[in-house]
Amino acid sequence: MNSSEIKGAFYIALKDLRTYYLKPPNISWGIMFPIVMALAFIFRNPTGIKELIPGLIAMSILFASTSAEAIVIVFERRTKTFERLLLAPLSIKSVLFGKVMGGIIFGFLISSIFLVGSVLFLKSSVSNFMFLTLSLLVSALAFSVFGTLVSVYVKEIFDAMTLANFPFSHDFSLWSIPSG
Amino acid sequence: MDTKQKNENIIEVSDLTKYYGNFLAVNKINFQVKKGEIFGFLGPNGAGKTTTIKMLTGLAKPSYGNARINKKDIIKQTVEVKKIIGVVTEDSNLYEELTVADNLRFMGQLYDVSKSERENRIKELLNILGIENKKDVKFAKLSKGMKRKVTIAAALVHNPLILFLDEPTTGLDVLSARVLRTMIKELNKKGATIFLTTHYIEEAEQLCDTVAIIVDGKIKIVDTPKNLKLKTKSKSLEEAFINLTELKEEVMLVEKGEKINNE
Repeated sequence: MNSSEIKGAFYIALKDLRTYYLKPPNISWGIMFPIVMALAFIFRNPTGIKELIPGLIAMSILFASTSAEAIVIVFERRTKTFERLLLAPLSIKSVLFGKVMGGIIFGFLISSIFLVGSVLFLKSSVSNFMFLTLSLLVSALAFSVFGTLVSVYVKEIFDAMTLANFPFSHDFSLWSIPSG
Repeated sequence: MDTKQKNENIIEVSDLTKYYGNFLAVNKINFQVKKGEIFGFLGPNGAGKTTTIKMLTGLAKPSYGNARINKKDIIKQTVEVKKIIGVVTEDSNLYEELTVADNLRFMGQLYDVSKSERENRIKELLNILGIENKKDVKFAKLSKGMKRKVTIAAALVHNPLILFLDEPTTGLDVLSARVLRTMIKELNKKGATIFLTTHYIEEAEQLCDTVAIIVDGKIKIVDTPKNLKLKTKSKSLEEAFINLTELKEEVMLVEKGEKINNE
């Protein structure tokens, strides 16, 4: 991948963040979802919430990266704006790299908000900051790529949401973030 | 552009074929487009016009055959080919959430146009198209005709050598279509080669230097509109088109039916 391809991928990610991800409904959903989940666990078991935080962070990345990524690509295919990207002088790898990058940044941002909230309000501690950051990035990458794969197999946005949320129902995400 | 350059082939298509499953959409077509001309690619609906454009612009891989654009292979040098072409697809497919200027900016970024050049070009294009006052309006808020103009501007940000226009005036009102046709002529005068698909025959007659007629995935004829009329002994290109596409019997039946109804 040469420099103009990397630049192109970066601009695609930037455009996605601006056009889709960093919209008030998405951000509020990304923040509200883990909070609602945390509250549900707190009501059930007020003493064990700290142990659940890694899993909740994983869930926030899963939903932020996978669902959003799959929905964005399916939406762009429907509106034919994805065709516009394919017409650009970029390889398909660069276009997908740009798309995945957008999902990674969004997933990382949402999980960071949740992480900061849990440190500030629930007095959680981070034993290895570098390892945690790396785990978050790797998880965001994995889920974003998964979202891209989902988008290949579906035509409708609702199908993308169903498929992207499938791993959640099997607790697939919970192992991905080691308890930091 | 001098005569020598004008006689150079900028697009050379040889045996280009496309299958979708068992369906043969484009069947071993051959034609050349000269530098600086407006080339009309005509045919009835489903004849293979869009599939041909998709193959030439790198959106679909040919099943067989090849083409060269400005001496570059469309299969082996797809990215290089994409750098020198601008494409306006059938749909005005820009980002609804972005403003006109931001859409054009994004297109310039994708084509790696430097910031200063990009801004100058955007200003110039908005000026040519007469839509400077719309630059901060979201694409979603524009009328159909305006969206079409912006889509054309987006295809021109990187100053392409060849502009592919797929049914550019479909669905536009008479005035917008006329403005677009004038714009196409102006772009051509400035040196751009234009590859145009349309099913409006009058449009092709007004604009094109050369016309190719495709029916059921096969090229029937490639010639100037004048020669086509002479060869088919037709008064208009529309009549020539009907004769060449073997639609004559259908047209006669419709006319006969109308006659019966009138009686």
